[in-house]
Amino acid sequence: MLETVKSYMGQSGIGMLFLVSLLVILGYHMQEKETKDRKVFLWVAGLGVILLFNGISMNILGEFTDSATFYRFLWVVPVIFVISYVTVSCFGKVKGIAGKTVLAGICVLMLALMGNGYVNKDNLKYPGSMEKIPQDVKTICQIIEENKTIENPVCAFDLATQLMVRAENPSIVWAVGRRPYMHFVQYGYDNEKKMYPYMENLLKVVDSGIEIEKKKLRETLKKKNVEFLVVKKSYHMDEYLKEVGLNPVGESDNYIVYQYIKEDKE
Amino acid sequence: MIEFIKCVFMILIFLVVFTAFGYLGSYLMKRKSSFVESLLLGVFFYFALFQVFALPLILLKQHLTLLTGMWLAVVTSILVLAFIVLYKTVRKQERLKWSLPNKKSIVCYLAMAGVVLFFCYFTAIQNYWGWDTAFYIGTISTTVDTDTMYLINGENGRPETTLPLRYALSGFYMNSAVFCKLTGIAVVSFQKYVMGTLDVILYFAIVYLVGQALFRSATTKVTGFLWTAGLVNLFFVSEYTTSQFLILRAYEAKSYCANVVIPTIFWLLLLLHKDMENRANWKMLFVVMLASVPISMSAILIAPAMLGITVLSESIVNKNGRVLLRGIVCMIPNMVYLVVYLLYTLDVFVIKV
Repeated sequence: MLETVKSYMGQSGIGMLFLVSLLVILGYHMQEKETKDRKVFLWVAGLGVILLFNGISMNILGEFTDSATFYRFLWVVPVIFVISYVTVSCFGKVKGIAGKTVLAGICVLMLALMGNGYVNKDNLKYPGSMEKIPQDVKTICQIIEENKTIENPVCAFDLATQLMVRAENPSIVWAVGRRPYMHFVQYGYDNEKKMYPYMENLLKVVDSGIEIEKKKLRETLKKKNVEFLVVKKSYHMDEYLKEVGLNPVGESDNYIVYQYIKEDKE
Repeated sequence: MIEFIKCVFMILIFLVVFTAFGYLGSYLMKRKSSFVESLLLGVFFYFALFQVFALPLILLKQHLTLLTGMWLAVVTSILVLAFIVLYKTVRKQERLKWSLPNKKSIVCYLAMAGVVLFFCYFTAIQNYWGWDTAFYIGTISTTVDTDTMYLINGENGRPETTLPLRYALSGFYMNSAVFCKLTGIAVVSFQKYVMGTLDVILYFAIVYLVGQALFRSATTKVTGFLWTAGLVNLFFVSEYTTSQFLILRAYEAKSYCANVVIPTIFWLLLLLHKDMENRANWKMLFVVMLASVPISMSAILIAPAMLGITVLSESIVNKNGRVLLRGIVCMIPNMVYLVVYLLYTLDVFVIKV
């Protein structure tokens, strides 16, 4: 449970700021309010820990939903509201411009210590197109659309292309699903689990540029009804893929689209 | 450029539609809602009603075109009705009291608008693409492309064998599909610009309302509260925070859950804490809970957990069993969805495709 809270709060120091704000509310601010407010506050916090934010509840709720998504329950903790409330209240308590300026200075210093946050070079960069889909992906989709032999062709891509391709052309079917992709991202190729062998063959070629045994790739393409493989130009696999029986049908700036026509279709 | 103009136009349309829904809903519930309250509460009336039409059609494996036609008729009717009520209300009042806010308030409102505009821009230029993006955008694209709802897996494009109720119980993405079909806006643009911007606006609407509730409408303090909330959001960095969803994934249903549904429940609970007997706010809480799952499946357990803990605490402190009872009534919609979802996971309630 503690690990979930830690990874939820991140490294920025907002977690610490939240704890301090809570203590301020409990220790000072609540003294001024009616006792009913303090009682409800303490009951909510107490019941929250007893009924929800503990290892047992986490396991039980994990049975219903998914334990990996338990962090979503932490959304009910009003971190932003608590910090903002205490900050504004502190400003209200401090008298005079000088005092407020010092407090503002402390706030700026604290923010500076937290690093860039979301405001950094990468996040301030304007994406190339309005749809935010790279030209490479658009060209690949067009090539597939023009050359497909069935309405919903099965295609294999590297990860970056795969995630965007169906936003551009929803008739395309992924050859490798999310689970196998994630499996190999997590455990690597040729791992002990020996799961998804066909998917592993495809990913080795399209995502890593590894030349596997030609017979194996041919068998995979047939077994999984894969019609198109999209491979990075930088992998220089043209000759190898042609020998497997794949024909280049078009290319974008960084990728070549190969088509595999099954013998029985010819 | 045309796509951009269409997106801006759709944002404005949605703001008008939400406000009309909220105004009419508040009128029916005899609740005096401000403009910001009407806008925010309208979202919940909107999705609660959308679900009434969308869910049966999804479960009956009907076409998106049918839903689009039906929903267009409903929205038009609600808009007409809201304007009639507004017209009658205005006519009833002998003399309208229009007064310009003072200089200080104008500065405060401009400062608040500045934060909202910055976040709208900052969210719009983000280009996060993850597996979830592929899934949700793919779901809407597939729906628009095939005119079917949840019959084809939105992520990988393969036909489903059974209706995926883990997602299909919520109409959120079908609402986007309806408007993509109607306007011809590309799905990615619609989600990232229209739904993302709306999420930001609604988030700051709720921050404003929470600020008003905490500081008893002191405009300067509310402005400070909104600015601080904006700043804290910019630094609340981890893969799971509400801020991550607000800034990088604002168009996802999950972001609406984290940044609109849950804060709205918090705000209503704050109002109820001050006045437990306010029936209009209890009714509103019920509507918010009713719309929580249609907006996001993530709310199926989170919303009742939050509500349950708070009303239990309130009923203990106030020694008032009625509070708990009202809270339980508000949780009924989520419990119904939960039972259906559990039956689905246990293979008891399965709809074959």
